[in-house]
Amino acid sequence: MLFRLVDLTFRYRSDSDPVFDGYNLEVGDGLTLVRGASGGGKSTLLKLMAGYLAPQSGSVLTRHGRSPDREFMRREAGFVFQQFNLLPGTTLRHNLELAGLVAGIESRPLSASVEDWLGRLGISQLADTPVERLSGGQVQRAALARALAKAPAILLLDEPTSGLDDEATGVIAGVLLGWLSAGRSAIVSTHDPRLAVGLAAAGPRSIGLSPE
Amino acid sequence: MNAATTVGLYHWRALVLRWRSQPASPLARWVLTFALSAAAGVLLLGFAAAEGARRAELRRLGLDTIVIEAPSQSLLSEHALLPPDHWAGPLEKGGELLLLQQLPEPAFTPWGDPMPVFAAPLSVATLLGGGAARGGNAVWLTRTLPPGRRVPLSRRNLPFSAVTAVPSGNLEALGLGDFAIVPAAAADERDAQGRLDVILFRPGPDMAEHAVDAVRRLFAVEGSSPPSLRDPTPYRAALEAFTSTQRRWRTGMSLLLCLCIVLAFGSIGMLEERQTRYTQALLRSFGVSAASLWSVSLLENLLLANTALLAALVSSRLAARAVLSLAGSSLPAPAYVETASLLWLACAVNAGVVLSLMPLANALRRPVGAVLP
Repeated sequence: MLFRLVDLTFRYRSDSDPVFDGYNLEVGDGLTLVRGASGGGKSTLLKLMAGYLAPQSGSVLTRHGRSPDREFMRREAGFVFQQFNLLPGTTLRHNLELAGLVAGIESRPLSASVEDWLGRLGISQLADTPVERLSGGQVQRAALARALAKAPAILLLDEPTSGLDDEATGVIAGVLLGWLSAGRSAIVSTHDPRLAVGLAAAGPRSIGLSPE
Repeated sequence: MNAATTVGLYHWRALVLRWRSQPASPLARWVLTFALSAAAGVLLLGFAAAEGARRAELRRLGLDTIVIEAPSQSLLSEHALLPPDHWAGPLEKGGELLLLQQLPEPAFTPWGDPMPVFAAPLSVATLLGGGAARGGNAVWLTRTLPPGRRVPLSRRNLPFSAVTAVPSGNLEALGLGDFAIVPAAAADERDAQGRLDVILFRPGPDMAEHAVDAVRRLFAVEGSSPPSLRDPTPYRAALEAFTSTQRRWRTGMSLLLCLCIVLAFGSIGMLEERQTRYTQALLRSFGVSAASLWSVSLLENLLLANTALLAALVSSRLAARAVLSLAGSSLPAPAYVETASLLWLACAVNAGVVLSLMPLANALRRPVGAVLP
């Protein structure tokens, strides 16, 4: 079991409608797809699982039986935001290395890991490019490479292929399948049927969320 | 490279970029701290100069010395500061004490002007007159003749020579113009009647408050009539009052300085937080602690504030010297402001910096997911 959500209530503002109200969920190992229309709470669910948001009541428990804390963010979770959020003012390589070093990975293995993931995602030639100069598709692949380079136990991906063409979607699906084949786990929020098809080989479970 | 170095370097680069793109932000903080600290520094230097001048004046005029006059009970010894069993013996432990005996007959200058004569133990005459008074010479304390001259004086129509010296230290407390000091041995039987013990007593810090009472008690125990006392306590009290006022001003000024820095740095900090919110949230999403991100802002502000403070202190010192020089003042610019005042100033500035970052500390508690899309 990766996550257990117990009687979870979350709202962004005290005067707004709850995104989750007494919500219960268990997420097991392997691949889980979180599906649903926009505004259904897919991104919020992933951020709650990563510890980036705190519920007003109820709890999110990781596989260690604890709420996700800074240590969980640092070492265990690799997160790809919907807007990808690369660190400005740095190169692509530096973005990946910084996240890996904060996660506690030694310099030398980290450098090898960075090169490896940049290669698999087809952006090696952009390693020393400032992130401000990357195109939308390159940024998406860079964000995934950053999440993977820190060798997390769990990947949390929020719409990783939105706006990508078929080829780039295929590359990301292929990289994810390869990563999952080593027995690791991922939770992917998507409403992109191409990605769902691409990941079908991993036998994903699905969670459906819809706006209240 | 480890994580701390990498994150530190990233922050440093981001800081340089931010300062380059918006130089007004660091400049405003630096100039404000400089101006306020320089003003505070000038005020502190002014206080230090005024207090220093008052203390010097007090010492120069001997106003920290109690003058006790009482009829003499015994003859002076040539080699001891006080005759044995003298009533002032107990005071010796409580401060600096000098016994002179004013002789009944005056001495006359070469121009026939009379002046009081005091007898003192030989060692005292030597002390007052320096090398020239060795060998039993009398000393003529005067401000009109250059020191170190040998001049003929007379007393009871008998000539004797004296070495000129400038009265200084506690001898100022006598409040006299010219006077002479002769060795104790120079007084004879004709001086036995009508001599007056003049004790110059500069109490130490432990006794300063109670010195006058102690003297009165000594006479009360003896059952003698009370001595004539010239008490410097009111002058000391005035100095203490000045020092105390100065401390209150310093405290108020420090609080005001602290408040100004809190408001200015706080306002600028809130604006900067809006610019750095995204990258800070992103770093927190990697697992960088909020405390370390807050420390980076603290270091940035401490760097600005303390370099400005240092520059302000140096400048205020130079400015004070220049202003005094332009004003043609004989008051010397104080060489330093006492450490306690500098510490107050540094504490005010640094406390202001720390307090100004409280809103940032609060902002860093905002969940990462509420900032990052």
